[in-house]
This record gives sequence, structure tokens and C-alpha cells, in this order.
Amino acid sequence: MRLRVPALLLPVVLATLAAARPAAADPRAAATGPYAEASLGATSFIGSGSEYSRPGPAFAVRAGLDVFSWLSLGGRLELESHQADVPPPPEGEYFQLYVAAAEARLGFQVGRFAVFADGGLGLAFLSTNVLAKVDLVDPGESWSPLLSAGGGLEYQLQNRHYAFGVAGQWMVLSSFAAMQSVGGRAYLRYTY
Amino acid sequence: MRRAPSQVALVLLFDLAAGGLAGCADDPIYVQPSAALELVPGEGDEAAAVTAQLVLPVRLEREDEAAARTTRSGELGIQVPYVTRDDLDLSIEWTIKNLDQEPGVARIQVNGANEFFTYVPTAFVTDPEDEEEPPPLVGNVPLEIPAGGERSGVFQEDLLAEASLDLELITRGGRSPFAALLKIDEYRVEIDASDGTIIPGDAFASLVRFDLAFLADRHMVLEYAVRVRDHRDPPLLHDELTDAPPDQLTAFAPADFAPPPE
Repeated sequence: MRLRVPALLLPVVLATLAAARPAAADPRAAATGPYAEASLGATSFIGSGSEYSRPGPAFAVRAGLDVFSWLSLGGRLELESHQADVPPPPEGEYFQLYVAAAEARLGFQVGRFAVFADGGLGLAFLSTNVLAKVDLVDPGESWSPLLSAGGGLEYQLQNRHYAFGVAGQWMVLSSFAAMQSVGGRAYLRYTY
Repeated sequence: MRRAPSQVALVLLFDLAAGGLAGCADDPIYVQPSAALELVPGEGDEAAAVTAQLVLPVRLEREDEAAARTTRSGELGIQVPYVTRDDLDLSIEWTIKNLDQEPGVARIQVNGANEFFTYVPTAFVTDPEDEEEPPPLVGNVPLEIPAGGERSGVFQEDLLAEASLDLELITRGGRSPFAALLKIDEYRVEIDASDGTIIPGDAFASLVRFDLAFLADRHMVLEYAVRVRDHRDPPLLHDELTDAPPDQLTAFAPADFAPPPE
């Protein structure tokens, strides 16, 4: 069976290939030092939590220091919002998850692109006890330790201070019945 | 200097995040009853009823709060409640399931108590043959539930804020329950009490107990939860809610309000 590329897409594919070739041979300078990052994305609970909450938007800010060109240490503050899907009542209620975590990121640059993997440890705060109805949260419990891991692809702009990228993340909230979530985000990163 | 806009953006982003964290102070908490209300009407029952009571799990009053309340009571010459109407925004979310093969009609009547008085509609009836019982604080609307179906709804915050005020008007204000309950007083800032004192708005007591009656003409189940937005700092509701040890909760002892003889 032959692989067929729609005729309209052919120029785009050719242009992309042509643009990509010199990129590998043309590494872009990237600043190293204090950085800050803002991201917008979406997260969804998986496993035990997926039955009782819907995917929702996530907003995060990160800041830290590139200790080396391949290692960064920093922290993140994140806000997620989800609609609870517990048996009514209540019905149609939303809850927010506030996250604060310390992070480490390992990566390397290839031309204009960089790939990285990151991991974090921190705390999460649940805004309501709506998930207590389905025993995902114990009475009086609103804080949980968290562990997160992820990775992504970053594109270095011509200006060495700016890069943008896409990334994915897995997170587990140990005190909330070990609820897990996965998410994706697009971000803009500024390095001083 | 060229980097200043980026730095300003960073500060704004962190302010946003910090604002988000601070904003969680008034997030709703759900107080769940120990059990749902299930009603199986007997043969020929037009509308049987079951009742339940839910007391808000309010923590013990701190010494500084009690001292401030005593001072304020002395200034005003009235009893100032521990839990005021401004402290809590309350709503009740409910779902009725009709387990019967026939459609039916259900009603939810919500009465209750603040920390001073309980509203008991039958207490206003001296001659059951001639007098009509006053309405409940909230509810009593007929709800048609299809066979095997369910229906959900909410007694919203403004309704329960009005119910708290109506209870104050009926009890400390000495108003007729019909007058208090049939008139909307949401902008009322004070009550002229029956003893001649003035109760300012910030001394209106909040409902702290709900007495629910569920009436239905078919086999139905009522599930409900009280949604609370707690504005007190530190919050009035105990962290563990109804699972808290009883000695860490305020034991309210409201009196059944009896209208003065005419």
C-alpha cells in the first residue's frame, strides 16, 4: 500500500523539510540563567479520578535558575479547574486544584530545538470537598503531597532570551486516593 | 531597561497566581447528611412525609470572638449571635428519585433554627380547624417526578439568606410568619425588635440547623447536601465537618419559638 500525501499538503511538507535541514546545522544561542515561564493547557484525571471529574483548563507559572545549560532548578505555581461529576447532589459544581512544587529539568539542545524531561515534588490544595462524596478525599482533607513528571519540546527563537514549547505532564496526588492526572501545555519561556 | 516589560509581566503572573491561592478562602464546602430520605407511602396515602435534621458543624467559639461578641452585645443592648447571617452563604442542593412505576408529586419543606430559636409552623396554630398553618421558611412547591425518573434543584443562597432574615423577623422581630415569609426583605438593614431594641444587619443570626420534611405520593428518595460558603476567618465550619468529635463542635440549643398570646 502506497503512502499518499494530499496534493495540497505537498508544498507544506517540502517547505518544512527544507526549513528543517539548515536548522540542525544552525544551533541558536540560548540564554542561560534565571528564567520564568507561563503556560496554558488542559489536564484530565485518569484512573480513580476520571469517573468523577471532567478535563479542565490549567494555567501555570514557573521560575527558577538554569544551573547549567542542561539542568534547571525552579518552582511552579499552577491552577487547574475541573467540573465535578459526582452523583447529584451537588450537580455541575466546579473545583479548583492549586499546586505549588519544586522542579528539576534536564535537557539538551539540537539546533533550534531543545528536548527536556522534568520532575517535581510539592503540595496541592483542593478548593472544595465535593469529591468527598465519592471518597476520593477524606473528611477535612484539602492538602496532598504531589509528584509530577513530564517532558517536552522547546523551540528557541532568534532572540536568545525567548523560547516557546509544548510539554506533557503526569501527576499523582498521594493523599487524594492517589488520583492521577495527565496534561498538556503550550508555554512561553523567558531566560534573563 | 529594555527588559522591564518582561519583568513587569512576570510580577503580574505571580500576582495572578497568588490571587488564585488567596481566592480559595470562600470556596464552597458541602455538608452531607448521614442518609438520604426515603419515603414509601402506604396504600391510600395522598402525601406521606419523612423528616430529617441537619446541624451545621460549627467549631467552638474562640475566647477573642466571645469577648468581642460580649462587648458588641453590651453596646447594642441585644444578643449578638455567634454565627451571623453575613458569615455564611448557604444553599441546599437536592435530587429526588422516583422509584415507582407511576409518576408522582413531591414537596420539600425547609424549616430550621438559628442559635436562638427554632421555627415550628404548627406552633402558630391554636385552632387547627379554623386556622391555616403558616408556610415553611423555604420550599413546599409541588414537583412532578416522572416514573423511574429524577429531578434536581437548588434552594439558592438568596432564598436561604431570606429565610434566615424571616426567622429573625418572626422571632426577635415579633412579626407574623405570614407577613414575614410572603414579603421579600433582602434590602432590610435592621429590625425593630418587639422589645423596642434595634437589631442591626450585622447582628442578624444565620440558620445553623435545617429541619427538612419530604412529602411524596409515591416511593421516592430525596438526597440533599448543604453548600456553605464560609466568610469567617478562621472558618466557622469545623475542618472535619460532621465527622468532627462532638466536643469540638458548638452544641446549639435553640428554643422552639412560641408566639406570644394575642
